[in-house]
Amino acid sequence: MTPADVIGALVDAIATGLPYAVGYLGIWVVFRVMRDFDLTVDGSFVTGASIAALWITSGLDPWLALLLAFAGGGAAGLITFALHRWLRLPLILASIVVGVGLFSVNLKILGSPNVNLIGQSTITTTFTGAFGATPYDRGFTILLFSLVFLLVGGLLVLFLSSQAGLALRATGINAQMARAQGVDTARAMALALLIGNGLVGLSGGLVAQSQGYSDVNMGVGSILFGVTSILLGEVLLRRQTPLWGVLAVLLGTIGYRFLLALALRVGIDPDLYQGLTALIVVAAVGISLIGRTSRSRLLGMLPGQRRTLDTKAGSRA
Amino acid sequence: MTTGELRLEGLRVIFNGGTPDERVALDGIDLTLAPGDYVTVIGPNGAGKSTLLNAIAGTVPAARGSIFLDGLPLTRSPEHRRSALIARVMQDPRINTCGDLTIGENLAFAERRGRSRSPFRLGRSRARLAESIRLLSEYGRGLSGRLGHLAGDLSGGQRQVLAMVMALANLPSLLLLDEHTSALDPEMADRVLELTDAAVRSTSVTTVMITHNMRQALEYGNRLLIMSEGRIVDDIGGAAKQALTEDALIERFRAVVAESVSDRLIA
Repeated sequence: MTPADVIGALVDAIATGLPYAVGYLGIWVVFRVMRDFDLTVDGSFVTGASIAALWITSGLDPWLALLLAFAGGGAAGLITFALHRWLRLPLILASIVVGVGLFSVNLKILGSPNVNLIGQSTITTTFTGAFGATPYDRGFTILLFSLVFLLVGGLLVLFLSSQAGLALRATGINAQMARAQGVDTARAMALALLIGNGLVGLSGGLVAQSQGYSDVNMGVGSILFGVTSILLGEVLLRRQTPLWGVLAVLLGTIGYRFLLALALRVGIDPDLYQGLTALIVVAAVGISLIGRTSRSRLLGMLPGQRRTLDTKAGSRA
Repeated sequence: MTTGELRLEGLRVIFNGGTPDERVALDGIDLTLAPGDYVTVIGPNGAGKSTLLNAIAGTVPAARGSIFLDGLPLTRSPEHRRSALIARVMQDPRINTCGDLTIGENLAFAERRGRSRSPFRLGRSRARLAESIRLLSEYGRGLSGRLGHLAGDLSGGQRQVLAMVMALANLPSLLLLDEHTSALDPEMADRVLELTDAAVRSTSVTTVMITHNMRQALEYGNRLLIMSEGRIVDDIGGAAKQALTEDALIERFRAVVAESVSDRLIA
Protein backbone atom coordinates (compact mmCIF):
# COMPACT_ATOMS: atom_id res chain seq x y z
CA MET A 1 0.00 0.00 0.00
CA THR A 2 1.49 3.32 -1.09
CA PRO A 3 0.57 6.84 0.11
CA ALA A 4 -1.04 7.31 -3.29
CA ASP A 5 -3.33 4.36 -2.53
CA VAL A 6 -4.38 5.95 0.76
CA ILE A 7 -5.03 9.36 -0.76
CA GLY A 8 -6.80 7.81 -3.71
CA ALA A 9 -8.97 5.77 -1.37
CA LEU A 10 -9.82 8.89 0.63
CA VAL A 11 -10.81 10.83 -2.49
CA ASP A 12 -12.94 7.89 -3.62
CA ALA A 13 -14.54 7.73 -0.18
CA ILE A 14 -15.42 11.43 -0.18
CA ALA A 15 -16.67 11.46 -3.77
CA THR A 16 -18.86 8.38 -3.43
CA GLY A 17 -19.74 8.89 0.25
CA LEU A 18 -21.23 12.39 0.19
CA PRO A 19 -24.45 11.47 -1.69
CA TYR A 20 -24.98 8.58 0.73
CA ALA A 21 -24.20 10.72 3.80
CA VAL A 22 -27.35 12.76 3.08
CA GLY A 23 -29.41 9.58 3.40
CA TYR A 24 -27.56 8.42 6.51
CA LEU A 25 -28.62 11.69 8.11
CA GLY A 26 -32.16 10.46 7.55
CA ILE A 27 -31.35 7.09 9.10
CA TRP A 28 -29.73 8.94 12.01
CA VAL A 29 -32.93 10.95 12.61
CA VAL A 30 -34.93 7.82 13.40
CA PHE A 31 -32.13 5.66 14.83
CA ARG A 32 -30.55 8.26 17.09
CA VAL A 33 -32.95 11.15 17.56
CA MET A 34 -36.08 8.98 17.89
CA ARG A 35 -34.17 5.92 19.12
CA ASP A 36 -36.11 3.46 17.04
CA PHE A 37 -35.43 1.20 14.06
CA ASP A 38 -36.90 2.05 10.66
CA LEU A 39 -36.22 -0.44 7.87
CA THR A 40 -38.34 1.45 5.35
CA VAL A 41 -35.11 3.06 4.17
CA ASP A 42 -33.97 0.09 2.07
CA GLY A 43 -37.06 0.74 -0.06
CA SER A 44 -37.45 4.51 0.22
CA PHE A 45 -33.87 4.98 -1.00
CA VAL A 46 -34.80 3.25 -4.26
CA THR A 47 -38.10 5.13 -4.43
CA GLY A 48 -36.12 8.36 -4.48
CA ALA A 49 -33.67 7.00 -7.05
CA SER A 50 -36.51 5.68 -9.25
CA ILE A 51 -38.49 8.90 -9.18
CA ALA A 52 -35.35 10.86 -10.05
CA ALA A 53 -34.52 8.47 -12.91
CA LEU A 54 -38.06 8.62 -14.31
CA TRP A 55 -38.07 12.42 -14.11
CA ILE A 56 -34.64 12.82 -15.67
CA THR A 57 -35.17 10.33 -18.50
CA SER A 58 -38.34 12.29 -19.28
CA GLY A 59 -35.99 15.21 -19.94
CA LEU A 60 -37.16 17.25 -16.95
CA ASP A 61 -35.20 19.34 -14.45
CA PRO A 62 -32.71 17.26 -12.41
CA TRP A 63 -32.92 19.60 -9.37
CA LEU A 64 -36.67 19.29 -9.25
CA ALA A 65 -36.09 15.53 -9.42
CA LEU A 66 -34.38 15.78 -6.03
CA LEU A 67 -37.38 17.48 -4.44
CA LEU A 68 -39.64 14.77 -5.83
CA ALA A 69 -37.25 12.11 -4.57
CA PHE A 70 -37.52 13.66 -1.10
CA ALA A 71 -41.31 13.69 -1.36
CA GLY A 72 -41.42 10.06 -2.52
CA GLY A 73 -39.21 8.88 0.30
CA GLY A 74 -41.17 10.94 2.82
CA ALA A 75 -44.46 9.46 1.59
CA ALA A 76 -43.04 5.96 2.15
CA GLY A 77 -42.12 6.99 5.70
CA LEU A 78 -45.66 8.19 6.32
CA ILE A 79 -47.07 4.84 5.14
CA THR A 80 -44.81 3.13 7.68
CA PHE A 81 -46.08 5.56 10.30
CA ALA A 82 -49.69 4.76 9.41
CA LEU A 83 -49.12 1.01 9.90
CA HIS A 84 -47.27 1.69 13.14
CA ARG A 85 -49.96 3.98 14.48
CA TRP A 86 -53.22 2.52 13.34
CA LEU A 87 -52.42 -1.18 13.00
CA ARG A 88 -50.28 -0.88 16.14
CA LEU A 89 -47.39 -2.76 14.58
CA PRO A 90 -43.99 -2.16 16.19
CA LEU A 91 -42.09 0.32 14.01
CA ILE A 92 -39.51 -2.23 12.94
CA LEU A 93 -42.20 -4.64 11.71
CA ALA A 94 -44.27 -1.92 10.03
CA SER A 95 -41.16 -0.72 8.22
CA ILE A 96 -40.24 -4.22 7.01
CA VAL A 97 -43.72 -4.61 5.53
CA VAL A 98 -43.51 -1.25 3.74
CA GLY A 99 -39.94 -1.96 2.60
CA VAL A 100 -41.02 -5.21 0.99
CA GLY A 101 -44.04 -3.61 -0.68
CA LEU A 102 -41.96 -0.74 -1.99
CA PHE A 103 -39.90 -3.13 -4.10
CA SER A 104 -42.84 -3.59 -6.47
CA VAL A 105 -43.70 0.09 -6.42
CA ASN A 106 -40.10 1.00 -7.25
CA LEU A 107 -40.00 -1.54 -10.09
CA LYS A 108 -43.17 -0.02 -11.55
CA ILE A 109 -41.75 3.51 -11.30
CA LEU A 110 -38.46 2.48 -12.91
CA GLY A 111 -40.21 0.37 -15.54
CA SER A 112 -37.27 -2.05 -15.70
CA PRO A 113 -34.81 -3.41 -13.13
CA ASN A 114 -32.33 -0.69 -14.01
CA VAL A 115 -32.30 2.58 -15.89
CA ASN A 116 -29.24 4.28 -17.33
CA LEU A 117 -28.87 8.04 -16.96
CA ILE A 118 -25.71 8.42 -19.04
CA GLY A 119 -26.15 11.21 -21.59
CA GLN A 120 -29.07 12.74 -19.67
CA SER A 121 -28.98 16.13 -18.03
CA THR A 122 -28.27 15.49 -14.33
CA ILE A 123 -27.20 17.79 -11.49
CA THR A 124 -23.64 16.53 -12.06
CA THR A 125 -23.61 17.44 -15.76
CA THR A 126 -25.30 20.82 -15.24
CA PHE A 127 -23.01 21.74 -12.33
CA THR A 128 -19.73 20.64 -13.90
CA GLY A 129 -20.90 22.02 -17.26
CA ALA A 130 -21.37 25.44 -15.65
CA PHE A 131 -17.63 25.42 -14.92
CA GLY A 132 -16.73 24.00 -18.30
CA ALA A 133 -15.56 20.74 -16.75
CA THR A 134 -16.50 17.17 -17.69
CA PRO A 135 -19.10 15.28 -15.61
CA TYR A 136 -16.29 12.99 -14.46
CA ASP A 137 -14.26 15.79 -12.89
CA ARG A 138 -13.64 14.64 -9.32
CA GLY A 139 -13.02 18.08 -7.85
CA PHE A 140 -16.27 19.58 -9.11
CA THR A 141 -18.41 16.58 -8.23
CA ILE A 142 -16.98 16.63 -4.69
CA LEU A 143 -17.69 20.37 -4.50
CA LEU A 144 -21.25 19.83 -5.73
CA PHE A 145 -22.12 17.10 -3.24
CA SER A 146 -20.32 18.92 -0.40
CA LEU A 147 -22.56 21.91 -1.01
CA VAL A 148 -25.63 19.68 -1.04
CA PHE A 149 -24.59 18.02 2.22
CA LEU A 150 -23.80 21.38 3.80
CA LEU A 151 -27.24 22.68 2.86
CA VAL A 152 -29.15 19.59 4.02
CA GLY A 153 -27.04 19.04 7.16
CA GLY A 154 -27.25 22.71 8.06
CA LEU A 155 -31.03 22.77 7.71
CA LEU A 156 -31.30 19.60 9.80
CA VAL A 157 -29.15 21.08 12.60
CA LEU A 158 -31.24 24.26 12.56
CA PHE A 159 -34.47 22.30 12.65
CA LEU A 160 -33.33 20.08 15.53
CA SER A 161 -32.28 23.19 17.47
CA SER A 162 -35.70 24.80 17.01
CA GLN A 163 -38.64 24.57 19.37
CA ALA A 164 -40.20 21.89 17.17
CA GLY A 165 -36.90 20.03 16.88
CA LEU A 166 -36.45 20.07 20.63
CA ALA A 167 -39.88 18.44 20.93
CA LEU A 168 -38.71 15.72 18.54
CA ARG A 169 -35.53 15.07 20.50
CA ALA A 170 -37.35 15.04 23.83
CA THR A 171 -39.83 12.52 22.40
CA GLY A 172 -36.97 10.21 21.45
CA ILE A 173 -35.34 10.50 24.87
CA ASN A 174 -38.42 10.37 27.08
CA ALA A 175 -41.79 10.09 25.35
CA GLN A 176 -43.70 10.01 28.62
CA MET A 177 -42.21 13.31 29.68
CA ALA A 178 -42.72 14.80 26.23
CA ARG A 179 -46.46 14.09 26.42
CA ALA A 180 -46.57 15.60 29.91
CA GLN A 181 -45.05 18.74 28.39
CA GLY A 182 -47.74 18.86 25.73
CA VAL A 183 -46.03 17.16 22.80
CA ASP A 184 -48.16 15.00 20.52
CA THR A 185 -45.60 12.19 20.40
CA ALA A 186 -47.39 10.37 17.58
CA ARG A 187 -47.12 13.46 15.42
CA ALA A 188 -43.46 13.78 16.38
CA MET A 189 -42.83 10.22 15.18
CA ALA A 190 -44.71 10.92 11.93
CA LEU A 191 -42.55 13.98 11.36
CA ALA A 192 -39.37 12.04 12.10
CA LEU A 193 -40.32 9.29 9.64
CA LEU A 194 -41.27 11.89 7.03
CA ILE A 195 -37.97 13.75 7.38
CA GLY A 196 -35.89 10.59 7.79
CA ASN A 197 -37.24 8.80 4.74
CA GLY A 198 -37.42 12.06 2.81
CA LEU A 199 -33.67 12.48 3.27
CA VAL A 200 -33.12 8.83 2.34
CA GLY A 201 -35.20 9.34 -0.82
CA LEU A 202 -33.27 12.52 -1.60
CA SER A 203 -30.06 10.53 -1.15
CA GLY A 204 -31.37 7.94 -3.61
CA GLY A 205 -31.91 10.73 -6.13
CA LEU A 206 -28.39 12.06 -5.51
CA VAL A 207 -26.75 8.64 -5.79
CA ALA A 208 -28.62 7.83 -9.01
CA GLN A 209 -27.42 11.10 -10.55
CA SER A 210 -23.83 10.72 -9.33
CA GLN A 211 -23.56 7.11 -10.49
CA GLY A 212 -25.51 7.65 -13.68
CA TYR A 213 -28.03 4.86 -13.16
CA SER A 214 -30.87 3.61 -10.96
CA ASP A 215 -31.20 -0.03 -10.00
CA VAL A 216 -34.13 -1.60 -8.20
CA ASN A 217 -31.71 -3.37 -5.84
CA MET A 218 -29.54 -0.37 -5.04
CA GLY A 219 -31.14 0.11 -1.62
CA VAL A 220 -30.37 -3.33 -0.23
CA GLY A 221 -28.50 -3.02 3.05
CA SER A 222 -28.98 0.77 3.37
CA ILE A 223 -30.00 0.51 7.01
CA LEU A 224 -26.95 -1.57 7.86
CA PHE A 225 -24.51 0.67 5.98
CA GLY A 226 -26.15 3.73 7.54
CA VAL A 227 -26.00 2.38 11.07
CA THR A 228 -22.39 1.25 10.52
CA SER A 229 -21.46 4.76 9.41
CA ILE A 230 -23.25 6.32 12.39
CA LEU A 231 -21.55 4.00 14.88
CA LEU A 232 -18.17 4.59 13.27
CA GLY A 233 -18.67 8.36 13.34
CA GLU A 234 -19.66 8.28 16.98
CA VAL A 235 -16.41 6.54 17.86
CA LEU A 236 -14.76 9.78 16.77
CA LEU A 237 -17.39 12.35 17.79
CA ARG A 238 -19.27 11.34 20.87
CA ARG A 239 -21.19 14.42 21.93
CA GLN A 240 -24.88 14.06 21.26
CA THR A 241 -25.93 17.46 20.06
CA PRO A 242 -27.52 18.04 16.64
CA LEU A 243 -24.36 19.60 15.20
CA TRP A 244 -22.00 16.92 16.48
CA GLY A 245 -24.43 14.22 15.45
CA VAL A 246 -24.56 15.50 11.86
CA LEU A 247 -20.77 15.79 11.75
CA ALA A 248 -20.45 12.27 13.14
CA VAL A 249 -22.65 10.97 10.32
CA LEU A 250 -20.49 12.72 7.73
CA LEU A 251 -17.24 11.53 9.25
CA GLY A 252 -18.54 8.01 9.75
CA THR A 253 -19.83 7.74 6.18
CA ILE A 254 -16.52 8.83 4.73
CA GLY A 255 -14.56 6.72 7.22
CA TYR A 256 -16.55 3.62 6.40
CA ARG A 257 -16.25 4.08 2.66
CA PHE A 258 -12.55 4.88 3.09
CA LEU A 259 -12.01 1.49 4.71
CA LEU A 260 -13.92 -0.19 1.87
CA ALA A 261 -12.03 1.79 -0.81
CA LEU A 262 -8.75 0.92 0.86
CA ALA A 263 -9.74 -2.73 0.87
CA LEU A 264 -10.51 -2.47 -2.85
CA ARG A 265 -7.14 -0.84 -3.61
CA VAL A 266 -5.12 -3.39 -1.69
CA GLY A 267 -6.99 -6.09 -3.58
CA ILE A 268 -9.20 -7.69 -0.94
CA ASP A 269 -11.73 -10.03 -2.51
CA PRO A 270 -15.00 -8.03 -2.95
CA ASP A 271 -16.88 -11.12 -1.79
CA LEU A 272 -15.54 -10.31 1.67
CA TYR A 273 -17.00 -6.77 1.80
CA GLN A 274 -20.13 -7.72 3.73
CA GLY A 275 -17.96 -9.52 6.25
CA LEU A 276 -15.76 -6.42 6.50
CA THR A 277 -18.86 -4.32 7.20
CA ALA A 278 -19.87 -6.67 9.99
CA LEU A 279 -16.36 -6.45 11.44
CA ILE A 280 -16.49 -2.64 11.36
CA VAL A 281 -19.78 -2.65 13.27
CA VAL A 282 -18.33 -4.99 15.90
CA ALA A 283 -15.14 -2.94 16.15
CA ALA A 284 -17.01 0.38 16.40
CA VAL A 285 -19.26 -0.91 19.17
CA GLY A 286 -16.27 -2.50 20.90
CA ILE A 287 -14.17 0.67 20.80
CA SER A 288 -17.05 2.79 22.01
CA LEU A 289 -17.52 0.35 24.92
CA ILE A 290 -13.93 0.73 26.07
CA GLY A 291 -13.90 4.51 26.16
CA ARG A 292 -17.22 5.11 27.84
CA THR A 293 -17.48 6.92 31.11
CA SER A 294 -21.09 5.88 31.43
CA ARG A 295 -22.91 2.83 30.21
CA SER A 296 -25.96 4.75 29.21
CA ARG A 297 -24.74 5.98 25.84
CA LEU A 298 -23.91 2.56 24.50
CA LEU A 299 -27.21 1.27 25.75
CA GLY A 300 -28.74 4.08 23.75
CA MET A 301 -27.84 2.02 20.70
CA LEU A 302 -30.55 -0.41 21.65
CA PRO A 303 -33.72 1.64 21.39
CA GLY A 304 -36.24 0.97 24.10
CA GLN A 305 -33.86 -0.59 26.57
CA ARG A 306 -32.13 2.56 27.58
CA ARG A 307 -34.60 3.91 30.08
CA THR A 308 -34.82 0.79 32.20
CA LEU A 309 -31.05 0.41 32.40
CA ASP A 310 -30.19 4.05 33.00
CA THR A 311 -29.92 3.97 36.78
CA LYS A 312 -27.54 6.87 37.18
CA ALA A 313 -29.80 9.49 38.64
CA GLY A 314 -32.05 7.10 40.50
CA SER A 315 -29.46 5.27 42.55
CA ARG A 316 -27.97 8.50 43.82
CA ALA A 317 -31.35 9.87 44.82
CA MET B 1 -56.20 34.03 32.59
CA THR B 2 -57.15 30.62 33.78
CA THR B 3 -58.47 30.20 37.28
CA GLY B 4 -57.80 26.59 38.20
CA GLU B 5 -61.18 25.21 39.16
CA LEU B 6 -61.24 21.40 38.94
CA ARG B 7 -64.48 19.44 38.98
CA LEU B 8 -64.72 15.66 38.97
CA GLU B 9 -68.14 14.07 38.58
CA GLY B 10 -68.63 10.36 39.24
CA LEU B 11 -65.14 9.60 37.94
CA ARG B 12 -64.66 5.87 37.59
CA VAL B 13 -61.54 4.04 36.40
CA ILE B 14 -61.42 0.31 35.82
CA PHE B 15 -58.24 -1.67 35.16
CA ASN B 16 -58.33 -4.85 33.05
CA GLY B 17 -62.01 -4.28 32.31
CA GLY B 18 -63.87 -7.37 31.06
CA THR B 19 -61.17 -9.78 32.25
CA PRO B 20 -61.04 -11.94 35.41
CA ASP B 21 -58.45 -9.45 36.75
CA GLU B 22 -60.89 -6.54 36.56
CA ARG B 23 -60.28 -4.03 39.31
CA VAL B 24 -62.12 -0.83 40.12
CA ALA B 25 -59.34 1.67 40.79
CA LEU B 26 -61.54 4.74 41.15
CA ASP B 27 -65.07 4.14 42.33
CA GLY B 28 -67.08 7.24 41.45
CA ILE B 29 -65.08 10.23 42.60
CA ASP B 30 -66.95 13.51 43.10
CA LEU B 31 -64.64 16.37 43.90
CA THR B 32 -64.51 20.10 43.35
CA LEU B 33 -61.38 22.12 43.94
CA ALA B 34 -61.64 25.87 44.20
CA PRO B 35 -59.07 28.03 42.40
CA GLY B 36 -55.93 28.20 44.54
CA ASP B 37 -56.79 25.13 46.60
CA TYR B 38 -53.70 23.31 47.83
CA VAL B 39 -54.78 19.77 48.57
CA THR B 40 -52.77 16.98 50.13
CA VAL B 41 -53.87 13.39 49.56
CA ILE B 42 -53.06 10.42 51.76
CA GLY B 43 -54.24 6.83 51.76
CA PRO B 44 -52.95 3.28 51.93
CA ASN B 45 -51.26 1.61 48.98
CA GLY B 46 -53.70 0.79 46.22
CA ALA B 47 -56.20 3.40 47.43
CA GLY B 48 -56.22 5.01 43.98
CA LYS B 49 -54.23 8.18 44.76
CA SER B 50 -51.93 7.94 41.74
CA THR B 51 -54.75 6.69 39.56
CA LEU B 52 -56.71 9.80 40.48
CA LEU B 53 -53.88 12.04 39.27
CA ASN B 54 -53.31 9.89 36.19
CA ALA B 55 -57.00 10.05 35.29
CA ILE B 56 -56.97 13.85 35.62
CA ALA B 57 -53.77 14.08 33.54
CA GLY B 58 -55.11 11.68 30.92
CA THR B 59 -52.60 8.83 31.17
CA VAL B 60 -55.39 6.43 32.18
CA PRO B 61 -58.84 6.64 30.58
CA ALA B 62 -61.99 7.26 32.59
CA ALA B 63 -64.56 4.45 32.29
CA ARG B 64 -67.31 6.78 33.44
CA GLY B 65 -67.74 10.26 34.80
CA SER B 66 -66.39 13.64 33.77
CA ILE B 67 -63.46 15.92 34.38
CA PHE B 68 -63.76 19.68 34.04
CA LEU B 69 -60.97 22.19 34.46
CA ASP B 70 -61.96 25.85 34.37
CA GLY B 71 -65.27 24.61 33.01
CA LEU B 72 -63.64 22.87 30.04
CA PRO B 73 -64.56 19.20 29.61
CA LEU B 74 -61.28 17.26 29.59
CA THR B 75 -62.60 13.72 29.89
CA ARG B 76 -62.10 12.84 26.24
CA SER B 77 -59.15 15.05 25.47
CA PRO B 78 -55.76 13.36 24.90
CA GLU B 79 -52.95 13.59 27.42
CA HIS B 80 -50.75 15.98 25.46
CA ARG B 81 -53.60 18.44 25.05
CA ARG B 82 -54.45 18.41 28.74
CA SER B 83 -50.80 19.13 29.45
CA ALA B 84 -51.42 22.65 28.22
CA LEU B 85 -53.36 23.26 31.44
CA ILE B 86 -51.93 20.62 33.76
CA ALA B 87 -48.33 20.23 34.90
CA ARG B 88 -47.15 17.27 36.94
CA VAL B 89 -44.15 16.03 38.81
CA MET B 90 -43.90 12.33 39.49
CA GLN B 91 -41.84 10.39 41.99
CA ASP B 92 -39.04 9.38 39.61
CA PRO B 93 -36.84 12.35 38.58
CA ARG B 94 -35.83 10.48 35.40
CA ILE B 95 -39.42 10.52 34.18
CA ASN B 96 -39.84 14.26 34.78
CA THR B 97 -36.76 15.45 32.89
CA CYS B 98 -34.79 14.49 29.78
CA GLY B 99 -31.43 13.15 30.93
CA ASP B 100 -29.82 13.52 27.50
CA LEU B 101 -30.85 17.15 27.10
CA THR B 102 -29.08 19.97 28.91
CA ILE B 103 -30.66 21.82 31.84
CA GLY B 104 -31.25 24.80 29.58
CA GLU B 105 -32.90 22.65 26.91
CA ASN B 106 -35.14 21.03 29.52
CA LEU B 107 -36.24 24.47 30.72
CA ALA B 108 -36.78 25.71 27.17
CA PHE B 109 -38.77 22.58 26.37
CA ALA B 110 -41.04 23.07 29.39
CA GLU B 111 -41.46 26.75 28.65
CA ARG B 112 -43.38 25.81 25.48
CA ARG B 113 -45.85 23.58 27.32
CA GLY B 114 -49.30 24.62 26.18
CA ARG B 115 -47.86 26.83 23.45
CA SER B 116 -46.95 26.25 19.82
CA ARG B 117 -43.52 24.82 19.04
CA SER B 118 -42.22 26.56 15.95
CA PRO B 119 -39.67 25.01 13.58
CA PHE B 120 -38.44 28.54 12.84
CA ARG B 121 -37.56 29.66 16.35
CA LEU B 122 -34.56 28.47 18.31
CA GLY B 123 -35.47 26.07 21.10
CA ARG B 124 -33.11 27.61 23.61
CA SER B 125 -33.78 31.26 24.16
CA ARG B 126 -32.34 32.73 27.34
CA ALA B 127 -34.62 35.73 27.21
CA ARG B 128 -37.75 33.60 27.53
CA LEU B 129 -36.23 31.54 30.33
CA ALA B 130 -35.56 34.42 32.72
CA GLU B 131 -38.23 33.40 35.22
CA SER B 132 -37.22 29.72 35.17
CA ILE B 133 -33.58 30.64 35.64
CA ARG B 134 -34.47 32.87 38.58
CA LEU B 135 -36.39 30.01 40.27
CA LEU B 136 -33.57 27.62 39.51
CA SER B 137 -30.96 29.88 41.06
CA GLU B 138 -33.15 30.40 44.12
CA TYR B 139 -33.72 26.72 44.86
CA GLY B 140 -31.21 24.83 42.81
CA ARG B 141 -28.02 26.15 44.45
CA GLY B 142 -25.74 26.59 41.49
CA LEU B 143 -27.93 24.82 38.91
CA SER B 144 -28.63 28.08 37.10
CA GLY B 145 -24.94 28.42 36.28
CA ARG B 146 -24.89 24.99 34.68
CA LEU B 147 -27.50 25.42 31.94
CA GLY B 148 -25.23 23.72 29.43
CA HIS B 149 -24.83 20.55 31.51
CA LEU B 150 -26.83 17.41 30.81
CA ALA B 151 -29.76 16.91 33.17
CA GLY B 152 -28.70 13.26 33.42
CA ASP B 153 -25.53 14.31 35.25
CA LEU B 154 -27.51 15.84 38.12
CA SER B 155 -28.32 14.06 41.36
CA GLY B 156 -31.88 12.86 41.87
CA GLY B 157 -32.66 15.78 44.16
CA GLN B 158 -31.26 18.40 41.79
CA ARG B 159 -33.15 16.79 38.97
CA GLN B 160 -36.36 17.01 40.97
CA VAL B 161 -35.76 20.71 41.64
CA LEU B 162 -35.38 21.12 37.89
CA ALA B 163 -38.63 19.19 37.38
CA MET B 164 -40.47 21.52 39.78
CA VAL B 165 -39.12 24.59 38.02
CA MET B 166 -40.20 23.06 34.68
CA ALA B 167 -43.69 22.37 36.03
CA LEU B 168 -44.01 26.01 37.09
CA ALA B 169 -42.81 27.38 33.74
CA ASN B 170 -45.67 28.83 31.73
CA LEU B 171 -47.86 28.62 34.83
CA PRO B 172 -50.45 25.81 34.56
CA SER B 173 -54.02 25.88 35.85
CA LEU B 174 -53.42 22.75 37.87
CA LEU B 175 -50.30 21.23 39.38
CA LEU B 176 -50.26 17.51 40.19
CA LEU B 177 -47.55 16.16 42.48
CA ASP B 178 -47.31 12.41 42.94
CA GLU B 179 -45.04 11.69 45.92
CA HIS B 180 -42.53 13.93 44.23
CA THR B 181 -40.13 13.92 47.19
CA SER B 182 -40.36 10.31 48.32
CA ALA B 183 -37.40 9.11 46.22
CA LEU B 184 -35.10 11.78 47.68
CA ASP B 185 -32.91 11.86 50.77
CA PRO B 186 -34.49 13.81 53.68
CA GLU B 187 -32.48 16.97 53.13
CA MET B 188 -33.23 17.16 49.40
CA ALA B 189 -36.85 16.19 50.05
CA ASP B 190 -37.19 19.13 52.43
CA ARG B 191 -35.68 21.51 49.95
CA VAL B 192 -37.98 20.39 47.15
CA LEU B 193 -40.98 20.67 49.49
CA GLU B 194 -39.87 24.14 50.49
CA LEU B 195 -39.69 25.13 46.83
CA THR B 196 -43.09 23.56 46.21
CA ASP B 197 -44.70 25.37 49.12
CA ALA B 198 -43.20 28.74 48.27
CA ALA B 199 -44.13 28.39 44.59
CA VAL B 200 -47.67 27.24 45.23
CA ARG B 201 -48.27 30.06 47.69
CA SER B 202 -46.80 32.77 45.49
CA THR B 203 -48.54 31.65 42.30
CA SER B 204 -51.79 30.42 43.90
CA VAL B 205 -51.83 27.56 41.38
CA THR B 206 -54.39 24.90 42.27
CA THR B 207 -52.33 21.97 43.52
CA VAL B 208 -52.92 18.34 44.39
CA MET B 209 -50.06 16.67 46.25
CA ILE B 210 -49.97 12.99 47.10
CA THR B 211 -47.78 12.13 50.05
CA HIS B 212 -47.21 9.10 52.22
CA ASN B 213 -46.08 11.33 55.05
CA MET B 214 -48.82 12.35 57.54
CA ARG B 215 -46.75 15.24 58.83
CA GLN B 216 -46.37 16.69 55.34
CA ALA B 217 -50.06 16.18 54.68
CA LEU B 218 -50.83 18.26 57.75
CA GLU B 219 -48.16 20.86 57.36
CA TYR B 220 -48.87 21.79 53.76
CA GLY B 221 -52.01 22.85 51.99
CA ASN B 222 -55.44 24.11 52.98
CA ARG B 223 -57.29 20.86 52.44
CA LEU B 224 -56.61 17.18 53.09
CA LEU B 225 -58.19 14.17 51.41
CA ILE B 226 -58.00 10.59 52.64
CA MET B 227 -58.53 7.92 49.99
CA SER B 228 -59.25 4.25 50.40
CA GLU B 229 -60.46 1.59 48.01
CA GLY B 230 -60.84 4.01 45.11
CA ARG B 231 -62.94 6.49 47.03
CA ILE B 232 -62.44 9.72 48.92
CA VAL B 233 -63.36 8.70 52.47
CA ASP B 234 -62.50 11.90 54.30
CA ASP B 235 -62.21 15.53 53.28
CA ILE B 236 -60.81 17.93 55.88
CA GLY B 237 -60.53 21.60 55.00
CA GLY B 238 -60.21 25.07 56.44
CA ALA B 239 -60.16 25.51 60.19
CA ALA B 240 -60.69 21.80 60.82
CA LYS B 241 -57.43 21.03 59.02
CA GLN B 242 -55.56 23.77 60.82
CA ALA B 243 -56.73 22.46 64.19
CA LEU B 244 -55.80 18.88 63.32
CA THR B 245 -52.86 17.27 65.15
CA GLU B 246 -50.79 14.41 63.83
CA ASP B 247 -52.21 11.98 66.40
CA ALA B 248 -55.76 13.04 65.61
CA LEU B 249 -55.09 12.60 61.90
CA ILE B 250 -53.65 9.12 62.40
CA GLU B 251 -56.71 8.16 64.43
CA ARG B 252 -59.07 9.57 61.84
CA PHE B 253 -57.09 7.85 59.08
CA ARG B 254 -57.32 4.47 60.81
CA ALA B 255 -61.03 4.90 61.47
CA VAL B 256 -62.09 5.85 57.94
CA VAL B 257 -59.76 3.43 56.18
CA ALA B 258 -60.84 0.50 58.38
CA GLU B 259 -64.48 1.50 57.96
CA SER B 260 -64.22 1.69 54.21
CA VAL B 261 -62.56 -1.71 54.08
CA SER B 262 -65.21 -3.30 56.30
CA ASP B 263 -67.96 -1.58 54.26
CA ARG B 264 -66.60 -3.29 51.23
CA LEU B 265 -66.46 -6.65 52.97
CA ILE B 266 -70.09 -6.41 54.05
CA ALA B 267 -71.28 -5.22 50.66
